[in-house]
Amino acid sequence: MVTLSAHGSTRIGSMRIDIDLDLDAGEVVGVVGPNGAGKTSWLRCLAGFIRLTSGLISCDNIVWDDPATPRWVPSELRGIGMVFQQPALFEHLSVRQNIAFPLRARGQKASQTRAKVDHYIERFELGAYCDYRPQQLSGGQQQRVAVARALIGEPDVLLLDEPFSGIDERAKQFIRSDLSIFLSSFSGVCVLVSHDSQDVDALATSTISIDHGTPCKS
Amino acid sequence: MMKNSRIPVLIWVLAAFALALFVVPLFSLAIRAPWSDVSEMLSSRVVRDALKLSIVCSLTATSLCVIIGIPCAWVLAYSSLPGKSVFRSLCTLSMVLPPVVSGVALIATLGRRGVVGQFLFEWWGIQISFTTVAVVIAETFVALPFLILTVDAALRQLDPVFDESARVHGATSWYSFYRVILPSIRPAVISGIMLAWARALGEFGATITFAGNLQGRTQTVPSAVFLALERNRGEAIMLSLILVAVSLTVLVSLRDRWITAVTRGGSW
Repeated sequence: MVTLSAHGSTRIGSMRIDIDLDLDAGEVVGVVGPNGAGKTSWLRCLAGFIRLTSGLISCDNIVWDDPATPRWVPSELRGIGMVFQQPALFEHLSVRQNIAFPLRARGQKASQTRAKVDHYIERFELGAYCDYRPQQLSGGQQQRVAVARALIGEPDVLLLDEPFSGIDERAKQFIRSDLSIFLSSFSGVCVLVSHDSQDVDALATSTISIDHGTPCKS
Repeated sequence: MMKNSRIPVLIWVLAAFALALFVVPLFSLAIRAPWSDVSEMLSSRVVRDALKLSIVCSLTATSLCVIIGIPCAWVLAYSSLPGKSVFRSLCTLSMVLPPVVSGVALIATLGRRGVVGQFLFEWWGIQISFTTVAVVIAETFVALPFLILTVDAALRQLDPVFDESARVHGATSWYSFYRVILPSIRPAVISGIMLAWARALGEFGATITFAGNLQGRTQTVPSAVFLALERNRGEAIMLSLILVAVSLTVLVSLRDRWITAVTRGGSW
């Protein structure tokens, strides 16, 4: 049973970010707020790209970030899957290699990953494009690859940073529907950042609104 | 035509002078070359030794540049080292130093009575100056900045989201660097390697100061050209033409996109 607890603060430039999250297994929290409110900074703290200056982040009672100790678990050891605002796919790798990346990075051989990668390629209807480079795909197709890459490692914590930004309505519906199916049986925790209330309503089990880096209401 | 007509005549004339400055000396070399003696000259012991040494030493120096230059660029681009701009300037200093000064600095460091060299000689009997190793060190010293500058610029322009994306999906910093970051800046890395190699191949001042000019041991093609000028101008011209041919080959193989990659650090 995965639990995620994040309480603390950090500073990005002149802006103070206060993070305040407690999530139990299967929970999907939608983090909403205006542009520049600090939503992405929350995800970056959880992903290990920004360190807290005070407080504690822990997952399953394993401390990820504790400036007082100072205990720190790097991003690659946190068991996270993440979809970025931009697809952030590796342009020199094919669609198949991009999707397989989390498995290969964790030491699995290509032969061991083949069946699982095939499953995700099929699930996200990318079979016709598996040897394409990301720059040959549309924005929606790229985002489907990014979602497949985030899920294939079976992460305990899924971070979604505006996963539907910059893609057309059809692609948005496709990804939203697939994520909805995935999250309904997901035993980890998920943090979804979005400025679109429709996305949050469709996927999240609870909502946190933040402004100026601080939670307003739950 | 529209574009051409917008450039003033005076600019055309000045540009033509610039082009002539590059092209005429090269044609002069070709015109003055003793083509009838070419096979005899190219098969002479002096030329073969110099060519062999130049190629071996320049390739070794380029390999050293890759081994230490890429990590150096990585540190410069991604670390939060205090005084990094000073470190960056130091790394590129040998690019603007007169080569003979570089040679004197290397003698002061690794010469038999140099700051480091004296201990190498006293403790292990190792003498570096005036050996083939000195040629490699001198060439590495002058060529290294070309690789560091090119790779550093490309790394700084690469969106950090690619590294973050790799790291969050399980890649260690090593894995991310060789599987994601380096391939993403591949054109810049290749350009840096080619430029460093071309610089190492043409190196003269630091080499002759630090390593000397001994045939078969420290005499590279540029050093051989220098010596040949005194006794056989035709041989000097032929050797120069060889270096021109090699440099042209490098430039042609770099082509526009690689040179563009150096300036913008992008990928093809």
